Amino acid sequence: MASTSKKIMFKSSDGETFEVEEAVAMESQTIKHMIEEDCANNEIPLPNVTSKILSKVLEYCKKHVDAADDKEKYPDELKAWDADFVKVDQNTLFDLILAANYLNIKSLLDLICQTVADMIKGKRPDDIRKTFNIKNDFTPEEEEEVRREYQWAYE
Amino acid sequence: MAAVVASPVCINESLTDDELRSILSRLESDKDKEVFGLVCKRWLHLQSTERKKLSVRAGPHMLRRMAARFTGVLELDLSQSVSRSFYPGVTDSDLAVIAERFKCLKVFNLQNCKAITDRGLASIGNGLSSLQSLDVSYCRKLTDKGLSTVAEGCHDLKSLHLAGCRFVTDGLLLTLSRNCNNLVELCLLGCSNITDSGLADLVNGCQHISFLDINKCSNVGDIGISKVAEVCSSFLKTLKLLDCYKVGDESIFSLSKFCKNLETLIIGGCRDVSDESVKSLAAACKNSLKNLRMDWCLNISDSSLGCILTQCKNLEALDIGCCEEVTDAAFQDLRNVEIEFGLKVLKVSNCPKITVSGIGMLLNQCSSLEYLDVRSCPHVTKAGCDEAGLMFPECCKVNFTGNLSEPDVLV
Repeated sequence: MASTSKKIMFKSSDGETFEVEEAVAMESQTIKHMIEEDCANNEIPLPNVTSKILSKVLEYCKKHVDAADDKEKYPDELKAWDADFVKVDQNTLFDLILAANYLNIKSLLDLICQTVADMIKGKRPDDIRKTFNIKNDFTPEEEEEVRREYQWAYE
Repeated sequence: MAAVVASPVCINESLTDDELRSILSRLESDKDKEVFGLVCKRWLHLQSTERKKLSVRAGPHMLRRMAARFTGVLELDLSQSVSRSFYPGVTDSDLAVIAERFKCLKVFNLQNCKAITDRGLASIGNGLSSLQSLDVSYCRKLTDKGLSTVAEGCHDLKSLHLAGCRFVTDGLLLTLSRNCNNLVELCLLGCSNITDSGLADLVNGCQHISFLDINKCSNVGDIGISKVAEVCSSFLKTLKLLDCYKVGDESIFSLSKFCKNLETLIIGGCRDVSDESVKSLAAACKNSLKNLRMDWCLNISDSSLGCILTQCKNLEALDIGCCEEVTDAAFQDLRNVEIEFGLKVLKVSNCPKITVSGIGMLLNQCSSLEYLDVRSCPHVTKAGCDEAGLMFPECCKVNFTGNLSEPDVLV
């Protein structure tokens, strides 16, 4: 296959530049639209994304583009890779969600949100607060009222 | 304020509502969603406003709280079960609260809320202009007056269920045709004041009706049904005419002529329907017909039943109870049909001429049968079937004596 693969250049918020193949960049719907509108010929600045996060995001995109063909043959391999990918500290996790949302990379957003959701499933409110460092701003009366409402309203 | 250790990350400071909603959307169980709402006030707000559907058993105070909290609700279910309704139940003042607060409401279920009156419906008609689906079945106090305010106020109405609202008359049908042109589903079960004239008025304005239930509207006859068939033609998928004894061959011929997409037809008790029209129906709707109930159609015989069985390839449920003329011969032509017959439900109760042999012929062609009703068939008994070595499909329930609960696909 003749590769006239165009390269796309990104600049992170802290000034680092990253170059990737067009196919990898197009994992992001935002960038895809820019490419289609022919606005991606120069460096694309990403003031919301640090180099640390951007490099991880691009690593994810590259892996998924490369594995696109293998996904049907070896779905477990990609799943295992994804599972490893999300083994990072919370700070990084949240930054990745923000970046995935900002760049509109659905599969990455799904992956990280599911990871966080899995940390919530089956837990009690107090455990969740501890895990995510959330302050309980309910008074005991307010909390009781919400619990009572759940008895009346259901699906 | 010197931090000794790096302060741990707080999710609420890192993520916006958008991302938190994405996370919430990945919680599947209701319990997890409830717990999400108990974590902090921000998460409660996200969880509450995400709720699109709500079922409530509550008085006006709790309803106001619900309305304040679940501002995004599109579907509200306040229906009661017939036996377990609580006193006084949903009242007109409750409806006033709902109409004022749940402005986006699209689907509203008030089945069996027997206390509501036209006054409550006026609140709905004046307040809930986005309403698309309303079920007030068995709210027996309602009359044309209240229902008309709903029709006049809710132009987007697509589905309206009025089973058991016995005060409804043709006047309401005229109002519906003038105001609710998008109406697709209408149930008037037991609204016995409805006549052919009302139906004609109805389809004048509501030309895309696909579900029409006029079971037990015994004043309706061929003129009304033919008009419905002609106007709604290929939109009509379900037509229920149980015990509409004035309906006869003319209606069935009209359906054959105009309604090629008919899937469900209930003409139980339409005693005047005869073989010729049913044969024409079988030919016209051979691809679409799935459910056919013609119990007590006393004139039906093997000639039309045979056509139904061999031509209607997608037939899933058939009721020919009390069709006394039917014999085993109706099943004979099945042997010539190559494709497997997908019938799931067959009711032949009170057909004295059907024997074990006929059932056997059916079973040869049909391995997906799930329910067979042969009550009061003197020649089809458990012993007889065993003796003949009949092999029923594994999951098939056979009702010989009336002890089994029935599937409700033919109601």
